[in-house]
Amino acid sequence: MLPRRNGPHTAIVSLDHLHAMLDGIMPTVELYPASGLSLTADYWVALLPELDLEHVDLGVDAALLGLAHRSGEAARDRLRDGDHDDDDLPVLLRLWLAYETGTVDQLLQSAARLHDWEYAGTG
Amino acid sequence: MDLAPERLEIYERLLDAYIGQGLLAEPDGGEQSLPIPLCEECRYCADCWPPRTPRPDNPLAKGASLPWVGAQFASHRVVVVAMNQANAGGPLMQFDVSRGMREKVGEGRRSTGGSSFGDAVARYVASVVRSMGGQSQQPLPEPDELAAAWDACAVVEAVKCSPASPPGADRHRSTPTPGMWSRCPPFLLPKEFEILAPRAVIALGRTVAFQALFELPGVERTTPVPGSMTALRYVLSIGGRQLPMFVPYHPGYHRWRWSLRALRDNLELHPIFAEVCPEQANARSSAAPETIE
Repeated sequence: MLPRRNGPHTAIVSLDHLHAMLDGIMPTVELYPASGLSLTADYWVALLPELDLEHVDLGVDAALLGLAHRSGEAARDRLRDGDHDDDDLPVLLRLWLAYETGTVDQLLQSAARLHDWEYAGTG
Repeated sequence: MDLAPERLEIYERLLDAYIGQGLLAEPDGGEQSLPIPLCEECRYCADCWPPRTPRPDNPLAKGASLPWVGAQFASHRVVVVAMNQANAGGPLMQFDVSRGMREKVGEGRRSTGGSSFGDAVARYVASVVRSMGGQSQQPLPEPDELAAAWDACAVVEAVKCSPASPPGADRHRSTPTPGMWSRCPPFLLPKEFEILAPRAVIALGRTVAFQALFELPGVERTTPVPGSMTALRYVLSIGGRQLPMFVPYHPGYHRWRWSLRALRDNLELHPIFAEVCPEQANARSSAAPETIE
């Protein structure tokens, strides 16, 4: 097979590789029911450890949206005050920019993981 | 040195500019600004998007990307003029791609998912940064220096959107319409240049993009500086301030390393230290011992 002329020198990044590039700037969002006992009859907690920020609300979506609503200002304050580790800076900047450009809810949603619970298998 | 406050301020000004140009719009009663779909709501969309021009499928890909601004940009101010991502967009696309490439070159990788863009940009910028500091182009930069090059630069998109690739295409290349080439650079680049206040400009590829730079209001091409066929060099005058501009091959062109070699040779022969750091150059020359003949 002949080598493709632009094979190793293309300037184009595929979307699959783009997802891999987000390593290191994705925040961590932990979701868990407040009592830790029931996934269905409880308040939900959404926790953003990078900002020491949590929001408690009646459902998963509400908890995430509340967290998203408060995260922009909190990230900006940390950046302005220099109140952060250097390692956290990319995450904080990414969070703040996502808030300012209306994409923070998608960011937190894709970063959210059920905390301390194991998903049951279907088999 | 932590340049986070300067970086934050630059991004705040860029966000204000994007809101001012209507690229980020505040919904009624909302606090957050949302990106507008350029192919539907940009003020020039009728000129740029003729009927039957394929639109991107992904709604997130329809918004303008903010420039990448590296962590140490405020102390170097090298601005790279590039293109939008083919079939991808959104306010943080350039940030995510550039930051990802910075990490990969720092790990010593020469390509990211088959793309040599990150490596090429880092090497172009590293050459210019060395020349700004009065340093030699040898030895070749190590991965740490290449990652630092991404920190030292900002990447702006001369054109903010382009038609989607045909379905089933195995390669996706950004191919703006003539309307995009003529409308987009004067729409946003002058404001971005004003905010970024570059000390040196690297325009990737001899496309219409770099020609468009010369046509921006307040920008003049004053003197061509001896360059080479593979790495052109000019002096730009922006608002009365002169700065060097380099036009190497686009990293998507398989001979970009020819261009890199020519750029290094050119900077070794004609360093830009005195052009971009006149105070330091004067201090260095006055501190140098006088030679006795």
